[in-house]
Amino acid sequence: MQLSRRALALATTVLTAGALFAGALGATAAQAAFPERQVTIVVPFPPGGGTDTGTRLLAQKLQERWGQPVVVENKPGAAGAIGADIVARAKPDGYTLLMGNFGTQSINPILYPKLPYNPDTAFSAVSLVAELPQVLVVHPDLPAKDPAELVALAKGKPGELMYSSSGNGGSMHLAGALFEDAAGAKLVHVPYKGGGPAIQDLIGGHVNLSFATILESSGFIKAGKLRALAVTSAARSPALPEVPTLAETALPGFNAISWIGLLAPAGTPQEILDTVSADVRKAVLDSGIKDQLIAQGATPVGSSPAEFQALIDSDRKRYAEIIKQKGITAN
Amino acid sequence: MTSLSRNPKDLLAGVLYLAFGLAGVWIARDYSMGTSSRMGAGYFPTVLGGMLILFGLLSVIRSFLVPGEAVGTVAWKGLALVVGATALFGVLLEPAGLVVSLLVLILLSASASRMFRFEWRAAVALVALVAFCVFVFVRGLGVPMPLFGSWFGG
Amino acid sequence: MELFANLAQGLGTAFSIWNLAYCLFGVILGTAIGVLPGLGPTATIAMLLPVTFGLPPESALIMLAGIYYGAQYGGSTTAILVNLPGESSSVVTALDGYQMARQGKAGRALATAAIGSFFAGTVATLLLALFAPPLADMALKFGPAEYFSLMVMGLVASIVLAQGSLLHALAMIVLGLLLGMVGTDVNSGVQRYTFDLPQLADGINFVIVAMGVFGLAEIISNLENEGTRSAMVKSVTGLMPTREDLRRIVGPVLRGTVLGSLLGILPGGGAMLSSFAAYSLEKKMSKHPEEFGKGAIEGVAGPESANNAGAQTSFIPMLTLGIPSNPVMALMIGAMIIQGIQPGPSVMTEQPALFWGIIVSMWIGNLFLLVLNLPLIGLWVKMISVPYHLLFPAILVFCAIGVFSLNNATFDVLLMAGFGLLGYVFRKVGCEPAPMLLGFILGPMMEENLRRAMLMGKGDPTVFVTRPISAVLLVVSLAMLVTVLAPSIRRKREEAFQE
Repeated sequence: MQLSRRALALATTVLTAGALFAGALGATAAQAAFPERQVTIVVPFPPGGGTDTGTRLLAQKLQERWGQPVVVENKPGAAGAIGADIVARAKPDGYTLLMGNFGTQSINPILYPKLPYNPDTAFSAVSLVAELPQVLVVHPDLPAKDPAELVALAKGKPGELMYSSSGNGGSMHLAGALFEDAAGAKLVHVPYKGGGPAIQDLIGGHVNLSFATILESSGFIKAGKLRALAVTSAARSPALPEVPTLAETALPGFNAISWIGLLAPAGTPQEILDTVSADVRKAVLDSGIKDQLIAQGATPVGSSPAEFQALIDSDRKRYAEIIKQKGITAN
Repeated sequence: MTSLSRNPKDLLAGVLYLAFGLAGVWIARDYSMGTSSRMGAGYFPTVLGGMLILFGLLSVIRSFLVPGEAVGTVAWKGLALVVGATALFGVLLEPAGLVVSLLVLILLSASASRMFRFEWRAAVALVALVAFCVFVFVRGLGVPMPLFGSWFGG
Repeated sequence: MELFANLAQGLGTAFSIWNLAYCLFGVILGTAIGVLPGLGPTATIAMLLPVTFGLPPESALIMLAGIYYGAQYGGSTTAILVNLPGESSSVVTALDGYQMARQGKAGRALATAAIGSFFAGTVATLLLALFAPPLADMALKFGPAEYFSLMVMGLVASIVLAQGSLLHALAMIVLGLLLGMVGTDVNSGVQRYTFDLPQLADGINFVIVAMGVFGLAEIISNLENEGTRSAMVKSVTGLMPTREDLRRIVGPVLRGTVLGSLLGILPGGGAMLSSFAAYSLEKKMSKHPEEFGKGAIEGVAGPESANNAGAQTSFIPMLTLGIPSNPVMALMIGAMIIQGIQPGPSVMTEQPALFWGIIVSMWIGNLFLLVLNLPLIGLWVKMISVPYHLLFPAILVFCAIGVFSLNNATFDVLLMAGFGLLGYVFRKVGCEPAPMLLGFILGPMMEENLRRAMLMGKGDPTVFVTRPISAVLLVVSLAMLVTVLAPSIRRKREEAFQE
């Protein structure tokens, strides 16, 4: 039994590698409802990252639900602006969707005044997919054992403690900026090219702390190479339930999270937006991917198109202030 | 002008370095220099551009002192056809699709060779190459290229 | 002995019939995409990622790892046969390998690469099995100051790559460094030399530059010489290395293996440096440095061994720490996450079958590659005897599609055409592109780490000499610089005396 299952898996691998799209051609287009053919979700980042793996999980579930192929296409570049632009120009029929995130929808419009599309009118929100709380991690040698001690330490040594980030204007940087603001402390921001190297230098002790994604840091937390002080979301994360929030410890009201969500080109019919939105919500909350998303440090959430749009707008307003105040640039 | 110099290759290389160096420094004037302990975005490019200008000047000066080879003939036809065909492939891929842009790329670049004859063997090779690309890259590896682009309603 | 128990478990995993099959499938697919210019393991693994959902985790990772080192292997085949380096590490293989191919020694070059790679892969895999955790801890000691000094060493080594005038070598390195500045500045977020094009915001991909200045420019200049037939390959002399060849490659293979194994551990670009460093080392140690660049077999053996050793040891930070050292490793981590495995230090203890299974499979994969590739050599050599006017349009097609697949962007194809033009101009005026490519790779990392080190050291430049590893690297660079410059200056003096 075991053997034949594996044989089957090998055969499928070889066959799929040989004809990844053969199934797409053979599929019957009998359903009257949306979708009648292949749906493409554009991920504006390179494969392998958090947004990409989350999308691939979702795409697989949507494919099962719809009986139509759901293809993930990576169009990386310019902090997501290239992929977003492609979707902004696509036919607004629901067959080309964008897996946007906190950065592409709320932050890029503030940081990049010369986006190739108008961020206010180019997209219709479909549904939030998952929230990604960050976790405040410190190198084990740092004396601070809890958030309050860290705040005290940072205030006592202004401009001494260093935090690493995935880059200027990225979620790790912005969470740090919000922390400085809330704690009234001054940290040194050390940007890297991506979250991986930023965590690597934290483990090596070259910087003192970081506002890491749970995905990239939980392995080190479990192995004792990093100490988790708090998560940055308003509520605790199901991936790290034992870690308190910053809000419940040192900094009441603190909330800095990243998220991923599905968008369609503006002008997509409302029925299609509602159908996809409802199906995404069912997919992330009902089926087996919920646990997989949680294991990746993401909190699965579905939402209505209107709720998602409200989140995009409120985040943009909130971060515009801190970006202006700290003089953060990325252009 | 090259006849004045004893080493036209060095002269042209020097001019090339000067051009890149000057462009580098000129564009970088908008970037903040910072200080040597806290360097700005313009520091490295300006220093590099300056070095390139220096190397360019040295190369130009040397070309008048030390003799060297001539540049030789330039294969304008091959250059234009190979570079042009590649660029055209990039331009046509999305509107016209893979099949048409492959035909343009292959036929245009092949005509750069003086051995090029359009006979049956070449035609078979052409069809085989297009079919190989369609099956291996698009069907097999799933590279997202349209077979027939938006001009054909794809 | 715990190691033997671990290895036994690894053997059990790797030698299951299905995992052997996945390993074989991975290395064959990897070789195939490596041979096709431009199409790299990153694009392929990304496309196969969804397929691995349905596999057991160890099978998925064994297959993906096979694709990675199979592609490294196939990449050198293309570099030797048609002067198309599709990976940064094969740039130096192309220098002497392609010259050997033109002299009718393609078979001997390919066999040298295969044997060197197999030996290096075996040693590196053993190293991985014995010392992975301590080596990974050592890699973490490398901070910005150490990486900066390492990049300086790489740049000094790159001067040795050039054959002609020192002035041109230096100028081309600087030009490469300047080209590397294109894109968003990591430290400040400023976009430099992007001309407001979002396609340039992340910089220019190395493959685009390499395909342009090596591949396209090579095709154009071959067409120019078509009449004189100098572009054609001379008649093939023997497919296997001679006894004399074997004697000559022993040293380079050993030194390349050591260099590659050590540098491969460093997640911040060490593996890329290893083949350059090995080439420079061989050229310096050789009694006939003038043969380098004209088909020296040592110039193939050293870098190829270093490259493959580095490819194996670059798994160390990924497997023991969950740190991706290159885009392929980032994808492998993505594959682990999809499989529900949390990458990080706990993989070794919680998933021993996976950890040891991958290590053992890497050795098996290398064996597969050797067995697979030695008989293939005859076929490859026949392939380049296809009339050039039929071959080059196909090469062009694969370059164009490969470059497109990097980011699925047609802009990159246009950019490659531009670099083809530039590369042809370089050839005409006698500028060598290899030092420029190395400058292009190292430049951004060097600047990033220099500025980061200064930021962390609060503007104190002494960090580079007070930190011991950094200081040692700088001293080695200085010594290398002296040995590189001294003969050239001495020669100048002699010339001056003669005039």
